[in-house]
Amino acid sequence: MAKTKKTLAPIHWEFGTLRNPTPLMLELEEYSKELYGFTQVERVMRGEEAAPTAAQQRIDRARAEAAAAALASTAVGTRLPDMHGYEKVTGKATFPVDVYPASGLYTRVLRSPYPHAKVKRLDVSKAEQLPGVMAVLTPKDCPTMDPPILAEEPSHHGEAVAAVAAVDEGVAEAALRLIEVEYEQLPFVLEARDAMKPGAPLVNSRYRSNAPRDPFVYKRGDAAKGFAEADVIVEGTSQTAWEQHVAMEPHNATALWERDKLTIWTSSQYVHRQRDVIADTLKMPHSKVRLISEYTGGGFGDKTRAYPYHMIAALLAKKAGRPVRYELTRKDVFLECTHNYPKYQELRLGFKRDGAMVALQSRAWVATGDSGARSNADDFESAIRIFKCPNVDVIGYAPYTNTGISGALRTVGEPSGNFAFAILVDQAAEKLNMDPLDLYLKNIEERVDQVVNLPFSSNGVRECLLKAAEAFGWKQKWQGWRKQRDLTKPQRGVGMMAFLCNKGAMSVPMTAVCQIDRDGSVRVVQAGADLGGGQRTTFAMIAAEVLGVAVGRVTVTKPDTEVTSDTGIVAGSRATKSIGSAVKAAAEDARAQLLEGAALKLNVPQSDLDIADGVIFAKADPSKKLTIAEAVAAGVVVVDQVVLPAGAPIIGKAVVPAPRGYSQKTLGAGFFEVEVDPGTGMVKVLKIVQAHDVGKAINPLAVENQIIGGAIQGMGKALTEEMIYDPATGVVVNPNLDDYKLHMMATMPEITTIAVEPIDVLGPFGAKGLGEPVNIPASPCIANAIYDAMGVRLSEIPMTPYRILKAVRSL
Amino acid sequence: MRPVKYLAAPTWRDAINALAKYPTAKAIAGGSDLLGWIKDDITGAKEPQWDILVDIRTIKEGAAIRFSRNEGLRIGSLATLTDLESAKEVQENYPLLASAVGHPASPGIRNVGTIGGNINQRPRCWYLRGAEFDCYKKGGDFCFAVTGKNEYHAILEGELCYIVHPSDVAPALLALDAKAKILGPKGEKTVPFSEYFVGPRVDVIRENILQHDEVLTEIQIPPPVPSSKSSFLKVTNRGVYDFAIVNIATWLKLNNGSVEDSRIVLSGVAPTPHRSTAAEGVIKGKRIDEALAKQAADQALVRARPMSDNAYKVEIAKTLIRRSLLEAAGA
Repeated sequence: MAKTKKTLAPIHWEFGTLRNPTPLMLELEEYSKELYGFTQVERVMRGEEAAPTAAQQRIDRARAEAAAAALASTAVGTRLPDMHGYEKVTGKATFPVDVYPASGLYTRVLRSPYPHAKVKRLDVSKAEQLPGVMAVLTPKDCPTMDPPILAEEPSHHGEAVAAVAAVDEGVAEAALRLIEVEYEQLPFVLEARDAMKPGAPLVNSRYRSNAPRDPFVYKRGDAAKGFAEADVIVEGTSQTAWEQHVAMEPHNATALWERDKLTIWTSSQYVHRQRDVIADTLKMPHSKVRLISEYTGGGFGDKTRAYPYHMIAALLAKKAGRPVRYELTRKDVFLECTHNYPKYQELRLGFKRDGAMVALQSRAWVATGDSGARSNADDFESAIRIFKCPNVDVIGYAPYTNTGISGALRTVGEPSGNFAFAILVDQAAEKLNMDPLDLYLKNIEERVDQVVNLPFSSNGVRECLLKAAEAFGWKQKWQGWRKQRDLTKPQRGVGMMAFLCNKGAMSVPMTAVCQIDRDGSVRVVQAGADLGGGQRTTFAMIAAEVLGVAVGRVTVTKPDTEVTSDTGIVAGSRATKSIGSAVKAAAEDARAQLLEGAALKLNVPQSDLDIADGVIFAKADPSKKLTIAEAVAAGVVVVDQVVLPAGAPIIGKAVVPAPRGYSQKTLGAGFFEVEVDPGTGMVKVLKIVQAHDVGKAINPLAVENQIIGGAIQGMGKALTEEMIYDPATGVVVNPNLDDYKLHMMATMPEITTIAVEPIDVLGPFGAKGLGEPVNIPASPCIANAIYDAMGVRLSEIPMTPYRILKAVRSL
Repeated sequence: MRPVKYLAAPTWRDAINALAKYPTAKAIAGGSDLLGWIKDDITGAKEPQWDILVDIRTIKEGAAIRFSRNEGLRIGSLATLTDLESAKEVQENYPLLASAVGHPASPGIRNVGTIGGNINQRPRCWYLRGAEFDCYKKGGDFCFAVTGKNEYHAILEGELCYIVHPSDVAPALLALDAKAKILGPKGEKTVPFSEYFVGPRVDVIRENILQHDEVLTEIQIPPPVPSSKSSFLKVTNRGVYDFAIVNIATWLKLNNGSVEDSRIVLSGVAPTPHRSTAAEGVIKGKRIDEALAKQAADQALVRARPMSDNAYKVEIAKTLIRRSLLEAAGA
């Protein structure tokens, strides 16, 4: 009997076509797709990418598992402190913000006090005459960019209007006060749903409407039918806040012109992307613009794009004829740089009585700020893959609003989407009278990504759930669904969730060079920034592992567009997997070259050689050996089939294509215990356990740090962090770290981290990324734990005493 | 930050002379509030651009802490919060003060922040501190908290302006019946802290009685009262390193277990530290138990007029009054 091939229902997936796109919008669109791997959905829709055969999948997995199993225990898999940790903690590391060029000037920027206005008159003459002022920049000095470098129609509070370079910051500030501006205030709109209403104020007159694109739509199956068949339906709304990244190093740019060449030191996650945009905006060859970011004091997604401040520093430096430094104040950072925008979501889930989820419907709105055009999907597609679910109907809207520009903050829509989903799953578990852990275990889809019908490169979510539950003591701590709660004194509660985060796919460019010097030491040439996640140490470990040398023999270059070509971005939970793969391939190339020379010298076939502890030896006869330095000296080049001594260091290189056929996601689970004081609304987090599918931990110490850091950041988003726009004036009232409340070490609970290692079939040694998903569990876990303790459902974050008491006391 | 001139004052007299001479001069000690204030460029018709800083940390003996059984405690206003927190005479005789001075900000800030600065610090209202808002306190003609986000604003005694007093130390000083020694061009005077703070009903611009050329030089606390009990509690958003949503300093004098005298003072609820005579009236002559504490708490907030977002503060204030009475009384 002939086998019938199972066909899947066609994917209904619309990004929403751009209306009246500008070149920059298109570029952002491409960038976003590239960054977040949407192209895979499109490729699958076009029939260009399909799952490997079952046999091929078995081969891929066997190969990946063998590579992970064959690891020597000297590099990959060992707990190594950050290779630059000493420099960082002793203040010796030169961050871009520490760069003070000789005779450099200082910048201050005049920012709009209104969320929307027209600059009717701008007179900078008095400022120009102030002694010590070396250059004043106005919109007419600026080339076109989106968002504008200096705005004539500012459309969010704090948009830059004019800028001054002076001999010190005090003079620059004094000059700002001498600038005369006459504004005509214009109507504004802050909330996404308001922006879409008929008759809403137009966010900026350069747009024809507040909706830059049609809504994002994703459907599979028939949601109406799914809900009709469901025994239990839960629904609810959720609201997240405007959130800031608050990287420890504030954004900065220090610009230096040498005739027609521009150098900018800037704290960056991706110097090459920024370089390209800056050069294009200035109509300069890319090679004439150099960006350097030796160290990066945190990024979280906020330091990937070229901002007006880069251009302001460059243009002021040109105009003044002197280097110009612009270190943004914290307020500048809040107002100019991106923030994660609030999402309002209406979500509905349907379940059968046995707990099987059969329908999901979501409608969501995000306020995207006043410029740029996000690719909608990443805002709205979270939580549509984690559970097996035949019927899904998702629509999302992302209009412009008169708020600061929006961007990724440890992903774009995953924390908010998973918050909406996981608090509803908890409600469903209660209605079904099931342990929520069992509801997750019943529903998780572990094999195939239901959107693209491709196998997961690894999916360790079940193991994450089981191991974290065990470490947390869930079965003991969770007391079942309580009917009564004592609201007269502080109560403890527990909450959990698991997630599939749509981030972590390998994406091009993935390139690297691995050079072995004459003394046998190794240099990895790459441009990935180390944001604090220990990325450079990871790359050194990968190269050391391949080459059989001590990690201490490897150095890794820092981001500098003049040193390397574009080797890939550090964002989207992809650096370890993408750049790491390129580093591994480049090291393998170098190793092959090394062994080629060694084989000639030792008169042993190349395949019989191995390297350990920096020594190349014949596997059959270890007395036949060479040091790596000797092998480099024995290196050869082949010209017209003649073998000649190379007399050069070995240069391994790699350009790795994006792999196809697998869905690459990041997964994990979180369990939190809290104590809630019903008299004050204070929440104390007592215990956190987070388990993450990391594929294979290259550096378990870095994995642990990453999870702890993410849990802490997640606690801040869950409990205290909220950037507040005054509704009447559209002005941000808390652009500072007193009123925008980050969480502190002093309130950190016990945090247990678990690395689950199911071996990713694509990543280097089976590794995958862990950058972003680490902050997903906190908000839903805490909300669910508060419910367990207090019997109230919070669906709005941050869960401040104000919101908790409002719910507990029905204020 | 705008450029400023710096003057170091060797004596209190030099300090007030400089302040009298320059209308835009401001005394600076730890600077943990003032420098942020200047950096944030908070100015207006009634809020000058401070551009001369008169350093008073250079004053000898300005930070002295002296205790005697007869006179009580004398604290130089330049004593840092850390000085006080670690001073034996404070820990042994004034546990309420020792607890209160350990609550503001972080250890790093308490190392530089002085008790005088903590008492005289400006309110945290984000409209007052936002350069974009020309509010009553800066000489403008509007209170933006009324139409805006007022989660942290006053629930009691607000009028025109709805700031709250931010200090953790001030309520403890009121509860301990402390006095302020003030030096000005006309000489020295001593004023009880119960008359030190000024609310918007009296003057919307200022928060205390200090004139521009006057300085707070010393805090005087009467000798410890035998059989007195106290409690300091504070609720913040973040749990640590944060200004109070509400704090409370409670001082009780017990006689055979009954309340003979009491002072119950809250910050974070009103434009000045708020002494709740209503609560004190409820407990006078009575033995504190759960029911009485609740009654006192309810009575204390009868006159609360919460705004759109801050009714939760009424609940917190009630909780704190109840808990602090029970804690102080050991009930």
